[in-house]
Amino acid sequence: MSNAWLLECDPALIVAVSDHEIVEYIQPQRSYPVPEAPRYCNRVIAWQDRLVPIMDLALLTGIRNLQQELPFVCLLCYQLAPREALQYLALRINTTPQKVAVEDSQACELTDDDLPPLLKSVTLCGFTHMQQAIPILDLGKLCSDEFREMAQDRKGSTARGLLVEELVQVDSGRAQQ
Amino acid sequence: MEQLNLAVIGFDSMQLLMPQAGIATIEMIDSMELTDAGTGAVGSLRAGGLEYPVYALDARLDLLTECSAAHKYCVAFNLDDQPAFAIACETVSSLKLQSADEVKPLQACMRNPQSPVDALLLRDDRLMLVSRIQAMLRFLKLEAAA
Repeated sequence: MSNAWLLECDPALIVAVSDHEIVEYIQPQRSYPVPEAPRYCNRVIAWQDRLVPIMDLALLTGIRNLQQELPFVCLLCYQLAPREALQYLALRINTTPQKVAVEDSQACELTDDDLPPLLKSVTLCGFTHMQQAIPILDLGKLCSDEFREMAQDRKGSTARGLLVEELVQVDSGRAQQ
Repeated sequence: MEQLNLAVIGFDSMQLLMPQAGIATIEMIDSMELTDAGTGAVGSLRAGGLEYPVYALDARLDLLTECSAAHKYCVAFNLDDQPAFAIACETVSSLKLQSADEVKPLQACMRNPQSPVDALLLRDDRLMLVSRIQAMLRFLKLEAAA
């Protein structure tokens, strides 16, 4: 038996990471836009002298098309190889991460119905929890050049769409005031 | 430790850091001559017998079709001793970093091969975009042709 953390990126997209990959669950005071970065990963937060990318998996997979200011992120760490420095990623999530114990008997195959096709290549394996198939993410692959190129080929998106949406939101907020 | 001398180019609430050594000249915006629309540049700058296309950008790094009243300066850059481009800006200053480690390279998940942004620097709660002359030149040419 081992432990994993469930991360709800969207009600329709719950993923898991290994127990040792979770660092903090935080509500960032501020994030900073990075022009020309991929639309699903175009902001950073400052954390312990680092600038950590914020990734929005719901936006990446097309489950959600509009950027939403989710108030919380889950700070994750991973290594590309043993003894290499830790890398960090902040994943936008909807609710508090949930720690679950996973037994070998819960292992399952992931079908196209369980997982957006784009995430297949960055999934280590899957397990069943509450009658739902949950993918365990390979964070190194998720943050790799290869995956970013594949995602951009499929979506062709950059920061601009997101920034425009944000400006629209700001403008509509002003109009309501 | 390697020191970094950077030019801080401010426009539309954004601060762009470029290698200071690549600056050919800094001129007042009045020195710029307007160019025909459709070239991507807002004007051209003649300095030292050389001509630089002048580009104006917003905070999203979209090309502007004209300068605003806030633009005060043109910062012209050379690449391999040849005129590369000039950027219209509101402010320009210098920044000396004691160590290149202060600059944080973009992680792979944030990179875009067409982007001029190589790295980031957070100072006084402001995020600055770090670029290189070659990458910025390539980006401006692509944007102007789009």
